[in-house]
Amino acid sequence: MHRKSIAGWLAFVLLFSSLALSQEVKEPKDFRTTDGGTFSLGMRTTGSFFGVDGNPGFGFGGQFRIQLLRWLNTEWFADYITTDIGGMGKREDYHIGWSVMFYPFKFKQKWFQPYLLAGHCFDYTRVTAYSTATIDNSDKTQSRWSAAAQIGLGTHFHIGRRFDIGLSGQYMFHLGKEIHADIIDNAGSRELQVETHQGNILEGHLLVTLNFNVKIADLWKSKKQ
Amino acid sequence: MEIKKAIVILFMLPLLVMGQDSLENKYPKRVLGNGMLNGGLTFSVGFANSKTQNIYVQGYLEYMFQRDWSVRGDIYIFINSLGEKARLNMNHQLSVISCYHIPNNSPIDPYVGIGPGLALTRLSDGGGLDSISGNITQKIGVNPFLSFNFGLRYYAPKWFHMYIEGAYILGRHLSNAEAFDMSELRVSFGLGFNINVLNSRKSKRKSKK
Repeated sequence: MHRKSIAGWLAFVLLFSSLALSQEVKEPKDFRTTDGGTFSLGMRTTGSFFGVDGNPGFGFGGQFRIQLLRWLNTEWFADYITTDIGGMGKREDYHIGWSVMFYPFKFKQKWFQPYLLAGHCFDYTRVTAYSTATIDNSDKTQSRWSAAAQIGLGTHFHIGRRFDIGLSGQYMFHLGKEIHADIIDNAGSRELQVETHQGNILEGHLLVTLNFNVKIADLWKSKKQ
Repeated sequence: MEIKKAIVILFMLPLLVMGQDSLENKYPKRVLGNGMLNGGLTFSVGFANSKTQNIYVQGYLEYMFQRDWSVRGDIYIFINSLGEKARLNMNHQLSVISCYHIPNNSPIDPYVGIGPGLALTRLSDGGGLDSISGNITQKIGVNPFLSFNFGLRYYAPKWFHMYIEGAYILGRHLSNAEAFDMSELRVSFGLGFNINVLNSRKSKRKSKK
């Protein structure tokens, strides 16, 4: 009788254990291995280099992404970039655009995902000369609208199921009215000359972007189910 | 006696196996978790140089999308400066920071973060001549910056945490006149509040059932 009760207890415990083991610990969805449909939202900081004025700029922006296929993602972004022109004036660039990102390689490691990107952008640029205590330079402000195309490469670092950090470099060509600022030496005092010229020209700059993204939703979840 | 031991081990085994799956179980004393909402309001001191300290009211709201990663929004309202007169009399800032919380088996949460921000800045002295009014004006500039954050929190059970943190702000003031480096190191400490939004939802659903 005693042995029978022990056996009963053991059977109960084994059954309980197997039940407990079969309980799945609920983890958030793993977005690193998606076939498409992922919507993500993020912020970015952008450095602008080798522009027409030769000064580096620094920017703030955001983006959202909609991944269409396993190998194809889209990014929709907006940036505000400011550049100090030798302490004599500033350049402000407002970018709004989109890029298509291709994932040509499939890596075994889930955390690393390089990509090629290309896209379009619309841009508003304003160059302002600083005023001094004795000279009002506000009339030297010039601005222009332009369209741009960009191409580059980058990588995601998937640091979790829903999180990634990205680094990209892209060259952006602007097609629009020429606007440039030159520091000239005017009888011993430095002065900023801001000029715009009629007629469209191509000018470009290198953008290096550091971003982070949170995968918010699987847009095609209902279709998959 | 042996049988009793076997029973205890058998009971413990599934718990141990299940525990391998999550950080919360791996680190049972860890309060942090997926779905946690943190917030805090305090004063912050910014050291732009050795002679001037800027005082801010700082607030943050943070959500943990994962057990070890969070996104937070920070706001700094510039109040005043101590020491030598500061070059800015306005430096309000808004930033979005991505933070990594280093896992450990304690209620202490060390973290590092990085993120972009925007600052509204205005010169305190100098400025540019406005030929229409004939006055020297200091216009407000909207300037991007990058913030590097690091800190330590201590979570009391459930609702509160104490924190001490630092942030290095990297940016440049640009407006209608003179430009200069507005980078500074900020230090703050205080009391924060936290609630796990996902857990409270679950418990509400349970109570409805």
